Amino acid sequence: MSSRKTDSASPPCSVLILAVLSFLLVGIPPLLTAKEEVALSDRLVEYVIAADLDTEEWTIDCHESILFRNGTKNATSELVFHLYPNAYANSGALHQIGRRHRGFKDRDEAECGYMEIKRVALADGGEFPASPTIDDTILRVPLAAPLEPGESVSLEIGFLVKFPSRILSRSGYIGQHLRAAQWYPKIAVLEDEGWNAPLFYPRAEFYGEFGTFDVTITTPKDYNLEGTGNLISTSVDETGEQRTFNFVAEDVHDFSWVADASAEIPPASSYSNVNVVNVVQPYAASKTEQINRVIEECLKLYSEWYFPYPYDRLVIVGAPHKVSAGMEYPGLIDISFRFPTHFDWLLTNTSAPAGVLIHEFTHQYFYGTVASNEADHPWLDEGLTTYSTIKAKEAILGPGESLPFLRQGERHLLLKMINEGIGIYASPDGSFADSWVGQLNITSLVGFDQSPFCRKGEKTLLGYRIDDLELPGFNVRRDIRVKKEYLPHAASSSALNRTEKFYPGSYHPIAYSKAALSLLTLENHIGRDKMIQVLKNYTEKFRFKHPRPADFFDVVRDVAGHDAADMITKLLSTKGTVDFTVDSVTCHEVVPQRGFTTQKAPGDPVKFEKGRKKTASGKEEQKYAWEVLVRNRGTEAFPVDLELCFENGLTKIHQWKGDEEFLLLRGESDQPLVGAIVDPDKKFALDLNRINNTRTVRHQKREIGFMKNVVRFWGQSYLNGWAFFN
Amino acid sequence: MILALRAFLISIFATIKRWKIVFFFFCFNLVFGVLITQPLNSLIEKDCEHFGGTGEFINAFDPELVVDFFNHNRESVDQFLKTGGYLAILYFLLFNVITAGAIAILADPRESTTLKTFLKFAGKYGFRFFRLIFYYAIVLALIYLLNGCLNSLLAWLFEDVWGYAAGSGTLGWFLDAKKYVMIIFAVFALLSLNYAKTAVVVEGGHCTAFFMVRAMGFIISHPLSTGLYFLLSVIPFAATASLYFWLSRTIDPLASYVVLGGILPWTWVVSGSFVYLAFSQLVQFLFQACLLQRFGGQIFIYRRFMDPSSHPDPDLQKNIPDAYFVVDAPDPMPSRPGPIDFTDTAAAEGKSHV
Repeated sequence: MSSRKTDSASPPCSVLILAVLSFLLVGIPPLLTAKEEVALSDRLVEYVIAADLDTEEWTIDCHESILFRNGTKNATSELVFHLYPNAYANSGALHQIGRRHRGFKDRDEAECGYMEIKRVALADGGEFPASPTIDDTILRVPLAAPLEPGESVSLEIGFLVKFPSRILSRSGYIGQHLRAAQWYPKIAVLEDEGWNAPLFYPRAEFYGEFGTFDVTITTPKDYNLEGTGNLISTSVDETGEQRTFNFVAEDVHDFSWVADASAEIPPASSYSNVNVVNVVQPYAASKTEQINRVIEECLKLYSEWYFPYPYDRLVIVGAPHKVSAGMEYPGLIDISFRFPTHFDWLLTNTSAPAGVLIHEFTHQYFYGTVASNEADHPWLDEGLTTYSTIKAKEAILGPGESLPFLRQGERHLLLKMINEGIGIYASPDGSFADSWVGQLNITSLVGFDQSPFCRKGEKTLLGYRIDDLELPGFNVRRDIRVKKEYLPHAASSSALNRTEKFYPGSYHPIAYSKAALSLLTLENHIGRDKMIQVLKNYTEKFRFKHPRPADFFDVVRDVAGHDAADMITKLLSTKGTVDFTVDSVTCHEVVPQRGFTTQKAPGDPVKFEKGRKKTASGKEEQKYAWEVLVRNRGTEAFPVDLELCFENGLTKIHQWKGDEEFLLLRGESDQPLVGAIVDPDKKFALDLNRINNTRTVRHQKREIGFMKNVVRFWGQSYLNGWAFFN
Repeated sequence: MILALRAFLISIFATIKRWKIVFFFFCFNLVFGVLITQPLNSLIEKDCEHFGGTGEFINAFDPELVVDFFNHNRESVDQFLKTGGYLAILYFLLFNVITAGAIAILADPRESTTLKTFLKFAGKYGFRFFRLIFYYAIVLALIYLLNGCLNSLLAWLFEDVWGYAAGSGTLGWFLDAKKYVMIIFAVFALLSLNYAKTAVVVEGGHCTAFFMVRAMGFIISHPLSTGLYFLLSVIPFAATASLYFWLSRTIDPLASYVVLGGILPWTWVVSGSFVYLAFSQLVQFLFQACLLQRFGGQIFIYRRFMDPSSHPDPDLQKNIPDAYFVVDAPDPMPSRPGPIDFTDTAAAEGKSHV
């Protein structure tokens, strides 16, 4: 096994040659020197890939040199690689089974993809004890002798990838836009327990080992190309037909790139010492400025909250209109550019697509640098990102307006009508939504909800799509959308499940939304400052590492104490729910005893008692007896505050441990009780129903009457909409 | 232009004169409005009758509560939407039938505005109007296909011809052009139905397909007058909506109505909720008036241009003043009777008018 090296810092020969050449020819400090100066991660793997893109066949012919070092405490007798493009080869691939063969039924040859391994060899020409084997998306390469901790091995792999003619799990091409994600044999993560290399299941392709990438890609000259890391050089061959791009990325666990013949790449903008590169679709060029403004704010915020963005460059790819985008890779994110579906003024007046943009940028932290395993612990990735996105949106776009019921309600109704036209509105989770009646819509009948630039089924009016919460005046609280998504799936799964263990349809609501709401709940209990401290400590301690949930809980324990750690563990680890309720509140005046007193013993005087006594101010003293019944209709018990509200405006807080089935609180006071509120500070962000958190003694006749009148008016107006088209 | 304006003004007076029909429309809408919203209002009553934050909810709306409310009542809300959907379809069909009564009374100034007359005409023309919906659906389907073709064309241009390289200006221009074309076709479909209804009543035939085609021909041959009148008829709808939004923002729903309280001392006891109820229903009433007014003007324009010989009516001829033969719309048959003077029909209505 001469190919193994005990010097963990030794680079492969090709890297050394490149480094020497760079030094001699250009005079720039070579890659290795730089690496030694600023290595941020353990760099257990070094890839050197040369790729040749054929845009006729949409294949890429590559050669990969890989140097891997065993960074664990145990030896391994094999190397394991992910061959992700095989997930698109046929309907038998686990990935397609996981997707329930969605969209695979009539797929033709061009729509399928694969990775063909042409050659696997040890760099020094040594022999394998047995042939490497491929199972679905996994390549296993046996080693003649175990690779001991600290030892390295170097391999040469020749491979060809055929991209599917649609974007499947973020890889493929549409028109002249190619998205190359998970496109090379990617070494799995070797942990102390062994290789973490499950077959490719949907949403499980993100776990990788930190290292360096030196990638050279040759494309037809018409194509612009951008990717992870720094663009070191571009050159045109002597025929003038081919361009070659060379990227070097350090301390990343993946390398992704895009090629696009029509996209424009304006000069990079620099914010907080980061060069922001935009890959722009020509029709959406006007959105670039807004995108960069949001990124500039994010860079500042996260630098303050967590740590400065660690790379020199950030590439933002605007995917063409048919491409479903919103994806993160180290140093590269993509977002959807469906802007022609918006009115011109919306281009400049709405926050779109700030939400997706902030979310994907946040992944540069929770995934990109704090690289937990999303397949095993999706909430550590998506939950923390969703939580941070809410906070960043509040900081950048404002906390959201608080408007009167009438105005806010009417705005939403009008928005619905603008988006969906006058039609029959069916709740998406109801069976009625799929029936022909549920689809009936006057504007649909004339096809106004269709547009060449919207996805199928997207509700639009006149071909324009206006996303709610984007319009000026519609920016309600930033966590509302998250809660809306969580509620219908609240009791479906634990947030700590592995990706494939989520109840169907509940992955997003639980891994993203429930986790984010749990973190908001934690923040409400420990305070924003401590929460920032928790996340700062966590990100600093585990950047360029692979943390697990226990690591996060330990940090919470260190910063905020055992109770806080127990709370977040409990919130995330069960599929239980929280729903505090004030079941009843009663209050009545205590009628003082009036009349003749009864004797306690023979001979006691019998007197007439008037009942009420007078206070010092001369008024008759009054007493009120009240009773409050509180319970948690959810399944998880937590301590909670109960606020008692009295007529004179005074309030009294009672703390309920929450460990009993219910709390029946009785008392007497000088002032009548007007109502009670459980969890008055709204600390439990995932409370299932906040309406029942309060209860008044008085019937809210006037207020209810008003709301009913408003509903009735809009019901009539809805019918008028039908009448107008008659 | 003048004809459209004249039709607009005349139809206002005709609508005022026929306020009873407006009231009938209003009641019809109110009944369905109550039916369609009652399940939701019951849920509000049940869930919020002791809700401690109602005041806060109304003045500083917390959308989280609405999200919670709809989730908590998911099944009931689904049922509510389902029932509401069916009721909306029923409303659409029945409204189509009752417009028969309205258009027939508007078209004949001698007829009284009684419920009996109204129902008589609704019964007479209702089934014909109902059949018109079928042809209306065919026109809408054709427009749907046209929209699909234009979409495909634009997608082909963008993807295959321009190779995704079109700028926002070019793309925006094509999208806007498509948008306006589709709006014109949608308005055309609506006006076809409207004028077909008018033709059925004015000309009194039974073949609804013929009248649908005839209405289309009429709109195509008089695009300026019909189009301008349609634009003018949208103004009252917009004004009504503006009135609602202005009024709804001037009241505090939980306080008594101060302005009225100053004028009428007893109204201090009236809560903003009742004031909201009153003016919101007034707005609904006005909306119905706008609908009726649209029909009235369309009858005027149709009569002005089309030959009413299929229904020769000596009484009508007597009431047609020469003043309505306007210069911008030459009468194709000057010797034939022209439009009805809705402003001067009191005499014609005589004692039968209630």
